[in-house]
Amino acid sequence: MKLWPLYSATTLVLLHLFIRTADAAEWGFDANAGLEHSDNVSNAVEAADKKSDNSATVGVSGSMFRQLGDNTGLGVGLVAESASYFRYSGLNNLGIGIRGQLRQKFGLGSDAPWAALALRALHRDYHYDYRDGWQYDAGVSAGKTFGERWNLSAFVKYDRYETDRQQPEVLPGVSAAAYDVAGWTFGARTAFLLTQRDTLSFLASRRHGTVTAVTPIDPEILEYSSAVAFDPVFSGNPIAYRISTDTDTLSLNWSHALGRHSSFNLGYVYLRSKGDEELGAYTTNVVNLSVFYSR
Amino acid sequence: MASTPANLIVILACVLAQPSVLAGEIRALVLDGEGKPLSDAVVVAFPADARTEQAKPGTEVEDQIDKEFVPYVQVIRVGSTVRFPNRDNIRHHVYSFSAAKKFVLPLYSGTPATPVLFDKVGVVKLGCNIHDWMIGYLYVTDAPYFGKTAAPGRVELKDLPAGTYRVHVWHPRLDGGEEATAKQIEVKDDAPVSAQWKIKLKREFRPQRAPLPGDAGYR
Repeated sequence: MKLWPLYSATTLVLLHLFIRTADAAEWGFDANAGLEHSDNVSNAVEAADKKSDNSATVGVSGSMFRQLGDNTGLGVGLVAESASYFRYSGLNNLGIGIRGQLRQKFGLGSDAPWAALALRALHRDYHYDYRDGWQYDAGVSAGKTFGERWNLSAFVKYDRYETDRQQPEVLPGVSAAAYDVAGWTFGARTAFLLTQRDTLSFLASRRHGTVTAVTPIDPEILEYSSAVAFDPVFSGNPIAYRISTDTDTLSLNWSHALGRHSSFNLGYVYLRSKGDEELGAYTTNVVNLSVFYSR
Repeated sequence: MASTPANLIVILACVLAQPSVLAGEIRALVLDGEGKPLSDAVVVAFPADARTEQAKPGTEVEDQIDKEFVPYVQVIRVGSTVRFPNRDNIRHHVYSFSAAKKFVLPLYSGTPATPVLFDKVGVVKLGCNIHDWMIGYLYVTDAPYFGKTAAPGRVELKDLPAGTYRVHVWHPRLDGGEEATAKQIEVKDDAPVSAQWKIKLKREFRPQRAPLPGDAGYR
């Protein structure tokens, strides 16, 4: 099912709400740049098939925010983000799209609980054209600050990726939409102020849905796959296949405020996907360094 | 007597030879626990002689500029009113939960028509319900003489009649009670008196304004 009509309608409703309010909007600009290392960009299950790579990431976003009422705020924005890989250039991509967030605070004060509905739709243009497609995210989150130093939030998110076009079938009768994935993620995030300038945050989540993995042609794995496609991004003529998994993610991030508007960040992410009992676990470790700016 | 240059010189000499009629002055220096100059420290002086006339309260201004309260710390006389002009081209939602003054200025731009009266002595912590990092302090005092240290940690309390004063210091991060900083200071008419405080600060944990990865924040 194509989701762009739903997102377009939602965007129009948000824009309408936005324009109706009389007061001046708050304009925002956000940018980030970083370096990332992943030990498994191919999302392979066997150690021998794992491909590691480094990438340079850049993101910019321009947004408008309006406070609709005493406790309700609406932000909409344009987003652009890119990743450039040092070895596997087929993974290079540029995503351009929109985002929106409706946020409700329940009370007065910095420790009042809040809830937010967030939507995002990006078109990703990959160097390897068959990966091009739309990425949709929709989520609900809620959180609260405890004391001066802790805050805790929980979220539920739906994500979906739809490629623009598909390769011819690799196996007769088997879909070639190996990059079309979707899933639900449930998670929690906590952040703790170590000092006035340093924040340590920890995220744990579980995603139930489909993922794309890459392997040399292996008939056994194909038994568990709902879609298969050739993937020339990696050497050795491997195939990309789609399976259903539960993916657990743990991430730890240290953020150091460089001033009021910028921060330096060091993060580590561990992902572990587990599908059918017969298949092994897909594990990935990611380390990233980044600078964020917000104005 | 006709004015001659010689007479004028004599008159001028007499005037200059008069004892100075300068009032007393306290030159305060406030340092943090590491001996570094501390800005935004409030210094208040209470005369031992209770007959000292109290100055009249006035109307003060606490601005909101670039999503911050300006000034961060302001000392006002009890009974004063304060206007809260919003100089940003967006709306703010100012509040205080402090015992000395609880109030809310619901979402507004420009300057609210009615200033807020501060009729109790104490510290009023200000916040904005949209921009959680916005924090400011109003120190409401009944002391007749007060001031706030600038960046070099110094402030001068001027025009004090000679006498004994009880002087103490407050800072948003002061660790412990304000009374513990109290000093008895003898002020004379003819010379300023210097006083120094070294105060221990607690760690401050304000909501972060700097961006955090994975946190969309309020917008």
